[in-house]
Amino acid sequence: MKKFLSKQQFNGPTFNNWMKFLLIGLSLSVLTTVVLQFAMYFQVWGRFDQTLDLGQAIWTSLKFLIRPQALFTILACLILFVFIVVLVNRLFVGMAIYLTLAVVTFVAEYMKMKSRNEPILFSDMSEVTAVGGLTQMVDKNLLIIAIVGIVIVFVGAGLLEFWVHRKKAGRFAASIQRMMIKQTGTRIAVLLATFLTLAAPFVANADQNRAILDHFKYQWQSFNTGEDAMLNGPVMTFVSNISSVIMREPAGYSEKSMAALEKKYTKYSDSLNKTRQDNLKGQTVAYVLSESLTNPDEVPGLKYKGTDVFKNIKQIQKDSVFSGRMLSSGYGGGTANIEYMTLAGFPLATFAPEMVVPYTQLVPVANEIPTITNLFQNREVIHPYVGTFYNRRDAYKKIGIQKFYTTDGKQYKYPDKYTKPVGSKDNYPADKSSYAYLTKKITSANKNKSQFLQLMTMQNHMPYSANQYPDSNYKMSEPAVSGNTKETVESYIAGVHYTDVATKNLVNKLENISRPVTLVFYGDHWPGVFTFVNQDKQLERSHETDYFIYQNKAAREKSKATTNQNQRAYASPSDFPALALEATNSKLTPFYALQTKVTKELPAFANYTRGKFVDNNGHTLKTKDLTKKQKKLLHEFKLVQYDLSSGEHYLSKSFTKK
Amino acid sequence: MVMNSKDKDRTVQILAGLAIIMLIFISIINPQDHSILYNFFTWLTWPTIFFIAGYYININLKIGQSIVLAIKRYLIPYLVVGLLMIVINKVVQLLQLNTWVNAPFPAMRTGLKALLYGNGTPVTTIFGFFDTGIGLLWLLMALFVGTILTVLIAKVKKVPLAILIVILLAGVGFYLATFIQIPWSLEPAFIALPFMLFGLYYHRLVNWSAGIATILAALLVNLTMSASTGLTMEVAYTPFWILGTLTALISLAGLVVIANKLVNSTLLAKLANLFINIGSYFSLSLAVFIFIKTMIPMNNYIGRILPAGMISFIIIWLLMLIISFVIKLGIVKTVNVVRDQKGD
Repeated sequence: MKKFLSKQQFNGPTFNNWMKFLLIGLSLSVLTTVVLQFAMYFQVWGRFDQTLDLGQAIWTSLKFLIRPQALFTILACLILFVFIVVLVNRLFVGMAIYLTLAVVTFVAEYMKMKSRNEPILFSDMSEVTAVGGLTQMVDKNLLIIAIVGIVIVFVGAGLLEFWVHRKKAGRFAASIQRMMIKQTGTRIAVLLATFLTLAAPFVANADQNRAILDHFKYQWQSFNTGEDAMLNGPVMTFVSNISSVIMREPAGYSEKSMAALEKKYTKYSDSLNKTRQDNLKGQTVAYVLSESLTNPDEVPGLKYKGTDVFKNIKQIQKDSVFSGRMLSSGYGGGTANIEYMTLAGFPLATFAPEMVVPYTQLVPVANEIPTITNLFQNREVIHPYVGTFYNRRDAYKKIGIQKFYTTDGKQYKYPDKYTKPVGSKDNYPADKSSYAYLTKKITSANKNKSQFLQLMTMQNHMPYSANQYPDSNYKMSEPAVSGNTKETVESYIAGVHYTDVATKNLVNKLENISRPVTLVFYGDHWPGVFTFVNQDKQLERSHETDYFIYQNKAAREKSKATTNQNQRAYASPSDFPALALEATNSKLTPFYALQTKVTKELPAFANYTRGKFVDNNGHTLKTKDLTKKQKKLLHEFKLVQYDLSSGEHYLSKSFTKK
Repeated sequence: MVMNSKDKDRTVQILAGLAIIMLIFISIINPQDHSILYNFFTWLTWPTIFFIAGYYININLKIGQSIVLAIKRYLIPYLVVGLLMIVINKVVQLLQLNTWVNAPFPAMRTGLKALLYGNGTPVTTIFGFFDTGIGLLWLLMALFVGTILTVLIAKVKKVPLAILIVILLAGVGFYLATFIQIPWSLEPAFIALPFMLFGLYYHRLVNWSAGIATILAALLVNLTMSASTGLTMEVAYTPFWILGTLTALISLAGLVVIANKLVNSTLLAKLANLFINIGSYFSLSLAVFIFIKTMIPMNNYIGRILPAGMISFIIIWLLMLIISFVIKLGIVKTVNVVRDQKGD
C-alpha cells in the first residue's frame, strides 16, 4: 500500500506531453462540437439557421463556437476523450473509440432531427436496446458510410498501435508512448476525476444540473427541444433532460385539500353513476393508434392529384359517437407520449416541461398509474414491430398490460402471417394485416370477460421513400418543393389512402359482430414530411390529427348512451378515457368523474405547448382566458395529477379503482 | 529545455515588452467590434503582466524589504500618476481643455476617492455604488497587493500547500467579485496569484519540458475560450473561473515558450532586443502608458486626420507605444542625471 501511494506512482507525463495530449483531445472535441451542431443545422425544417446548403450549414456550425454554450460541449467531449484514452492507455485505440462514439452520436442526432426536429434526449437511452429497429429507420447510405468510417478508423488505429509499439520505435512513436500515463496512481486519479465529472449530471438533481448549465449561459427553450439544441448544442440539451422534475407542486396542495377533493369527486361520481351501467363485462374497448396519420387535405398549401384520400375516415367520423381533431403533443414523432395520454388521461401540458417522455421518466417512479386499462379483465397491446422503444415493456408491466405482442416478442410474438405489407416487401406491415389480427383478437375474446385492446400500427411510419407504393396514382401538385420532398409526400399520401380503405373495412367487419366493440381511433401525430409548412405560423394545425370513437351495433344497443357527436370537436388525447367510458355508458370512479368533468367543462389541452387550450370552435385560449369556474376545475385536476404522479399520494385507492 | 538564469531573465524581459505591446492593443481596440481578438489578448496580457511581477519577487529578501520594494515599484507610481491625473484633471476643467486632454473625474474629490479605493471602473463598493473609477491605474495597485500576497505565500515551504492557498484565494477573489468590489484591487490581485506564483516558481526552474506542443495547445485553448469570453481582470470576472484560470495559465505557458525561443534565436535577435527595450523598467513603462492612455485622447487626434479603420488603429497603437517609450526613457535619463549629480 505504501508502495502504491508512493510519490512515484503519481508522477505523469511531462508538461509538454500533457500539452500534446490536450492538443489532440481539444482538437477532436472542437471538431465533435461543430459536427454535432452540423447535425442540428443541416436539416430541411428551416427553423432558425437550419438549411440544406452545405456551406451555409458548416459556417453556421462553426459560428456556434462563439457561443458560451459551445464550451460546455467542448469540455464534455474533452473529458470523455481523456477518460477513454487513459482507460485503454493506448492513444490511437482511445481515439478510435472516441471517434466511433462521435460518429454514432452524429448519426443518431442527425436522424432524429431529420425525422422529428428533436435531438437525442436522455429518455431516448431506453431505445439503445432497440438497435436493430433503429438501424432500419436510418438512412441506408448514411449508415453504410458510418460503418465503413468506423471500420477504417479501427483498422487504422490497430495498425498505428502496432507501429508505435514495435521493438525499434522511432522518434515519433517514442513521443506517442511518452504521452501515455505509466504510473498507476496518476491513471487512477485521472480516471476517477474524469469519470466523476462525467457522472455528475446523472446523479445531480434537476436544479443542480440547471445550475451547472446556467454557468455556461444555457438558454432553456422549455417547449421545444429542437430549438434548445440549436441554441445550446445537443449535448447541453441532453444534460438538461437527465434529471427531471415530473410536476411542480400546485398551490394549495395538502392532505386536507386532497381529502376535500376526494369527497367532492366521490359525490360527483355517485351523481353521474345514477344513469351509468356496470356493463364492461363481455365488451371490448379497442384503441387504434394509427401511426403518423393526419388528413393530407388539411395540410396548409398541399394539393395533390388523385381520389379523396381520407373520404372513408371522414364518413366514419360522421357515424361515430364522438369525433373531431386531436391535439397531439408531437410532430414527426413522440408516439409513446400521445399513447400515454390516451391511456392515463393526464395531458402532457400539465406536467413540468422537463418531463418529456412519461414512459421513461414518470411511469417507473410514479406513486400510482391509473389507466383506463385497469377497468378491464383482459388487457393486451398489439404492435407489429419491435417492442423495445420508449421503455414500453417495463411501462406496460407497471400499468397492468398482460400481453404485449410484438414482432420480436418471445412470450407474446406478433404472428408473421399478419405482417404482410402493402407494396414493396420492405415496407412495414400493412394496416390491413394489423387490423386482421385485431379483429381475430376481438372475435376470439371470452364472452364473459371485459377486454381492452390497443393496436399501434406501423404502416405509415417513417422513412417514406420514392416508389414505396408502385401502384399509387397520387401526385403532389403544390407547393413546389424539391424532388425528394415531393416523392416522400406522395408516398405518405398513398399510405394514408391504404389506411383509409383498411379502416373502412375494419369498421364494416366490427359492425357485424355480436360482441359490443368501442373503437377509439386516432392519428398520433403529423408525419415529418410536410417540411414546407411553417411551424411557427401553423403550430396548432401541425399538431392536429383526426380521431373518432366508434361503436358497433352491439355496443350502441348495450350502452344506450345519449351523446353529442361534436361534444369534443377538439380533444386532447387525455380526454379519451373519459370519452370512451361515456360512449360505453360505464360507471365511473371519482377519478374518471373528474376527467369527465374536464371533457365537458374545460376546452381541450393544447399539448404542444403549456398554458394553452383549444375550444370546440378551434380557437386557441390562454389560461387567463378561462372562466373562474374553469380555472378552479383546472387547479383541482392539477392537484389530483400531482398527487398521483409525484406528490404524497394522499388520495385513497378508492379514488382511482372500482 | 534546460534554462539558465540569464536565459530566464531575457525571456522575462522579452515578455515584458510583449506585455506592454499587448496592453496597448487591448486598451485601444473596440471589444464590441473585435470580441474574439480582444478576448484572445486578454487571456495573454493580464497573466503575463502578473507573471512578470511574480518573477521579479526576490524570495531571499525579508518580508519588510520585499514590501518596501513593492511600494517603490508599484505603489509610488500608482500614487504619483494618480495624483498627477487628478491635478491635471482640475487644470483641464478650469481651462476647458477637454478637447485636447481627458478629464476622467467630475471633481478632484471623486478622483481622490477613486484613487484611495483603487477601483478601475464604476462598481459596487463596500460603501455602496461608486460611479467613478481610477481607470487602468488599478493595475498598479493590483500588482502591489498581489506582490505582497505572493511574498507572504512564498514563505510557505511546501509547494502543494502554497498552490492550495493560491487556488483558494483565487476562488475567493472570483466569488467576491460577483457582488462587490473590495478596496485596493484586492480581487484582481487574488485572481492574479496563480500567475504570480507561476512567475515566482519559473525563477527557480532549471529544466522545463515545454516546446512547440505547448505553444500550439496554448493557441488552441486560448482560441476556444476567446470565441466566447475573455478575462476581465479589473473586476476579476470570467464566466468560468477554474477554466478561465487554466486557460490563462496555458496561454501564458505558450507565450513564455515563444519568448524563450526568441532568446535562443539568432535570426530574431534584433526583434528580441526591441522587445527587451520596450519592456525595460517594467513598472515605469506601465505607469507611463496608463497615464497617457487615461489623459490623452489619441483617438480624437487621429480621428481628425484619418477615418476610423485599420490604418488609424495601427497609427494610434504605434503612437502610444512610441510616446510611452520616449517618456519612459526621458524619465529614466532624468533620474539617472539627478542620481549622478547627487553622487557627484
